[in-house]
Amino acid sequence: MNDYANETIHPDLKQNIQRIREIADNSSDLLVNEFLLSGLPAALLCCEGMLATSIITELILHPITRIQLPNPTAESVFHHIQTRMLLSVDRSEAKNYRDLFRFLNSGFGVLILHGASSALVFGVQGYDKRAVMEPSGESNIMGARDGLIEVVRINMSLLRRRMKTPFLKMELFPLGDKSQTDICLCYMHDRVPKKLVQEIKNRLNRTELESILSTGYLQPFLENRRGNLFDTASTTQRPDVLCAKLLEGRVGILIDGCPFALVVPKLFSESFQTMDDYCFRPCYTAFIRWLKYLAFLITLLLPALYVAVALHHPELLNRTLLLILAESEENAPVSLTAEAIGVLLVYEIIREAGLRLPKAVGGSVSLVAGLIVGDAAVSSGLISTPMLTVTAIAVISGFILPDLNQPITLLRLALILAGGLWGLFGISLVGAAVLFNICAGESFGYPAMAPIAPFRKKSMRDILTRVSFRKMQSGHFTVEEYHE
Amino acid sequence: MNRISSGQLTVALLLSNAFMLMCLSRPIGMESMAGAVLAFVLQAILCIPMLLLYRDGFSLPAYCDQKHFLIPILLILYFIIRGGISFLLLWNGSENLSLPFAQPLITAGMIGLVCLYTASLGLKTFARASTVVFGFLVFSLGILLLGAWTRIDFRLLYPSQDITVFRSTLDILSMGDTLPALFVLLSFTNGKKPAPTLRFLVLSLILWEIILFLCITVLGNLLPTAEYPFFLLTSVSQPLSTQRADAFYLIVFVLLCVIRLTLLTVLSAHLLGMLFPKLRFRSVLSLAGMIGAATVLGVLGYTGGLYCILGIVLFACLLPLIFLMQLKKHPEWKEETTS
Repeated sequence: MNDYANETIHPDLKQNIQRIREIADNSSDLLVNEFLLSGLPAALLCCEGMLATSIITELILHPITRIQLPNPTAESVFHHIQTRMLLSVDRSEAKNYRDLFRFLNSGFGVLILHGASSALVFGVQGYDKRAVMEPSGESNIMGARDGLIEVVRINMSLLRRRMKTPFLKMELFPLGDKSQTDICLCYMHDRVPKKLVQEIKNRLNRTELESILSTGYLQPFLENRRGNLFDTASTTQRPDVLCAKLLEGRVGILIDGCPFALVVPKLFSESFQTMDDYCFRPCYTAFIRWLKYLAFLITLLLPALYVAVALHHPELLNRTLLLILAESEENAPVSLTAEAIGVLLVYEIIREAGLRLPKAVGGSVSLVAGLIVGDAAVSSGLISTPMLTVTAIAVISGFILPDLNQPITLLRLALILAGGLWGLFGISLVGAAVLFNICAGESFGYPAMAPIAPFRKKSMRDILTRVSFRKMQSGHFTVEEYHE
Repeated sequence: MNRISSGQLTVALLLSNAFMLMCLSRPIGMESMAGAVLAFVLQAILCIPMLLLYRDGFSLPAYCDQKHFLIPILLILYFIIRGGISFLLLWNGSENLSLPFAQPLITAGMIGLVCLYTASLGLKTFARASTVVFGFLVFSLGILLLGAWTRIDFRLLYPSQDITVFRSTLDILSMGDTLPALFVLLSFTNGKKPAPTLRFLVLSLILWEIILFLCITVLGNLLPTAEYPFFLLTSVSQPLSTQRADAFYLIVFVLLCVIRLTLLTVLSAHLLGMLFPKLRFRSVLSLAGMIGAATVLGVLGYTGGLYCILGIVLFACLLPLIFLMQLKKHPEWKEETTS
């Protein structure tokens, strides 16, 4: 049954239908409508629930059943349909069963005819889909409110609405042996480095995945090194963000069935940028940028520094602070390191519970759990108030950078452990290793730490500060400048 | 080995030099500032044959491809011994840092482990990380200046009776051991060679002069008793009255140490790779060699000196000079040793 991939379509209608049923193993959603087309036996195949009945009836069935040709043959009928009738704007031809099933299961109407060794396909998709709505993960104040959805073609249209230039190229192709998922490669062909596109295509072609159900399936194939803590391929739910990235010469990958787009290459500095940055006044944006850099350091280092200083370097604290800490930690039953790790682990458990529970209860459960557990732990003396305060500040700071949540969570724990065991020396060592890890990050020859390392002075206008569009409009920055 | 930019070369060598400056334990006086100028002028002169050689298109990998083993082996030995001395400086210096454990061997072991990882990522990663660490260094210098500013006393700038300019020149020259590393790294640097070399020497001189000036004018009478003047300077120069900033220098010190040891490990591992392409665990072997060298040198009580100057003269000046003369004598060699 699996050897149908390159099998050409059988010209005999009965055998053809029989083979199709055989391949589909009489699947209940396969609909076969047999009829006479200009006197020749024909059949219109479709997948139940994947197309709009009214559209297929009006655009396909009505017109083709009226065709009456003198001395009709399969060839002449197909030729007539292809040259004289529009039927659907999205039309193609399937030569083998692999293509036929891909079109069929993508919501196309498939017309097969006795004597024809190919099938005509018409795009009449009409499956249920989520409406275009504001993305839940990348909220902003001033930017657009629409977000990508699960249907790749809608996502393509969201991009096209913003970029009417013919230089925006979108290449659609199937990937995944079993899922045959539509993947759309988008790029500005006047901006993108040609080698980047070719390399991405080569890598995607080399994948041997059975299915592609989310961005995570493809992401490892687009990242160069194993062992990187930080992503070198980013994801976005926002078409405006995706357009901005494409204009910088990046490549976007849309996956059918997934409301996220992959963007390659990703720079570490992008984690600190949002669409709002380009809507607010430059001076305020610069302030927010620096606040984010500070938040990154706080979320990563604050609990570890607290543990390290309190345990190993109390001389670094001023007297008042030292007394407060000593008093609060006096009755704590566990060590400061264990306390910090415990609090963070409990927070992660509550966060995970809040995420996995149904939305209606998830938020309230995490809120109540946090309040009750936190209050009870402090009042019973299990956890000191400063520790809880420090952890809360660190966690809240992390919310500013949702993009970096995963590596931050792991690194925070590692740094606390290093700080608890070896003080500031341990934190410095882990910090050095992390710095090298980030610097080693590279995607298709684009260093993740650019434009800081390698340093590009010109790019500092959007890193250290954010200059106004009067200045940014010139120069046409593309990521190719960072290639090493 | 991947190629690096001229800016990255400058920064990497500067950081390696800065670590030596932090570990400075020689007597300091006003003469040291003049000694530093002389030492860096001498280094600049010593670099001339090397730069002339590279102007003719010399390439160390091409030279090694011709099965010439002696120079790479000597360089590997030099880097391993310098790595060993760096470990020794770290052991001694760590006594001045507030570390949570007394055993210097643990300090060295942990730094060695981190360097094993950082060296495994290659020269390109090292060069990128150097750029970021350079930012830290500049920032820490800013904090140091902020703290020291009010304590500077120009009256303390007077000639010392115990220190001579000649002795200071030799001391500083023996600590500026990065020229052999420069000789190797120039083979892997894009662009023109003289500019980054000159930039590195000028920036190093500025750094030395700033720190020496601060040590003399801030520490004053404390200076003769200071085993490690830089650490004493950081303890004295606190920018905030209610909060000590020593921790920041500890972080910078560790970062500089990692950078220096990674540089030496990467270079010796790469030279090992040129000689024995099938040899595995080259970074591990290099680091093990450095720790071994540190143990032996520690037992002998040696932390650098005149032999370092010999190393600098040999690798930065004599060898390139010999190469240049040979190339003049045998023009057919040029094809073999140039890329």
